[in-house]
Amino acid sequence: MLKEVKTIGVIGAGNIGLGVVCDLLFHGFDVVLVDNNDSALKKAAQEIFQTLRFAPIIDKRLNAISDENEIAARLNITSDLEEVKDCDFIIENITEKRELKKTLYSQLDEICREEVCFAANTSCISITEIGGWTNRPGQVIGIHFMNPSYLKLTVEVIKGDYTSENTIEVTRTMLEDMNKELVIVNDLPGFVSNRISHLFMNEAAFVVQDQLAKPSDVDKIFKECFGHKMGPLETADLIGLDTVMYSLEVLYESFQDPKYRCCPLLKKMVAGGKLGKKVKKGFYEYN
Amino acid sequence: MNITENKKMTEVNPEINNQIVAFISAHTGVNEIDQHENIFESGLVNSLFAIELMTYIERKFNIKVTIQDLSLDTFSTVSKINGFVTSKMTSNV
Repeated sequence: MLKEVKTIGVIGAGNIGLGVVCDLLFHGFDVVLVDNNDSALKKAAQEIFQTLRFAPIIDKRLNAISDENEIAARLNITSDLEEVKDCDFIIENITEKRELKKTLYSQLDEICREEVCFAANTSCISITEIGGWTNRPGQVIGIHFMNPSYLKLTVEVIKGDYTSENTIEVTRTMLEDMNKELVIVNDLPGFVSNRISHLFMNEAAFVVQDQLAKPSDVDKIFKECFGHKMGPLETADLIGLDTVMYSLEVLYESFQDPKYRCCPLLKKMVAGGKLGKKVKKGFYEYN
Repeated sequence: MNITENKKMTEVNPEINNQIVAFISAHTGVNEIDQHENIFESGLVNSLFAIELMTYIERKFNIKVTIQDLSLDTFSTVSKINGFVTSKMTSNV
């Protein structure tokens, strides 16, 4: 049984992964960040450093970390998955593709100590299904960190059918050390947040496709009429339109319900490389 | 920018202003930005933009933003950002 979580392996250096890494470092954990994309890793180092320095301007509860030596001592950025072998807990944030995740979990199962828990920061795939890809289904749990993690105080935690009470407690302790409040839900694809939010984002894309309104007006209605901090299309751009599309595909495949069919405009934008903020072009253009 | 140019800095440097406005405009798609508009409170940008803004001004103007500088108010208007950049550049001379 795991006694203490000190070093956490974060797999995937995309938007959400980077936010999680900063959040962990702000709260005293050491991190091994793994990604198989070298350019993502290069960008990651820079972004993490700037966020650790500057995020406290947004949230005064965070203490800036500007000492490069401290960061170097506490953060290992690597493309070698084997380097998570001494980690006490794993948070996976890779692309929402079943085959990729399946391969990764099987590798993690071989590499990590047997008491280590795996948290899927997955968009939509069932935690029970992911647990079935490992020999430790009781130690697989879902944590849906919101973006950016270091500014969000609540997380959705998903209990798979076989997730053990001990895994929930280990996860709870770690998240409470990050000053998070947990909302624990049961397991079905998309859980609560993504099952609903992806319908919003998809329908907003249909609205633009149907020329009912331009993206900024769709978002304005959500922000100014509903009081949301971000509109659905801004959110889709931030998440990445490819990720949104993959998640919708998982929901569609899982529920076999046409309400999850991906909007053709969204598919076209992804095919055309308009992936959102990360490539500076999506429903909006970015500098 | 060289040292001679730095010495010519005045409190409101139109060149710096233009560059700051161009950066915010490119992010927001809004071309006309009032010098004294609070870009966060007006909803023009959200607070996360502050990280991108500070990263940009460090690189663009070759200055260092320190922990002591981390106040959202300092970066809340084009005029204040200009004042901050100018004072940093002057103190670097």
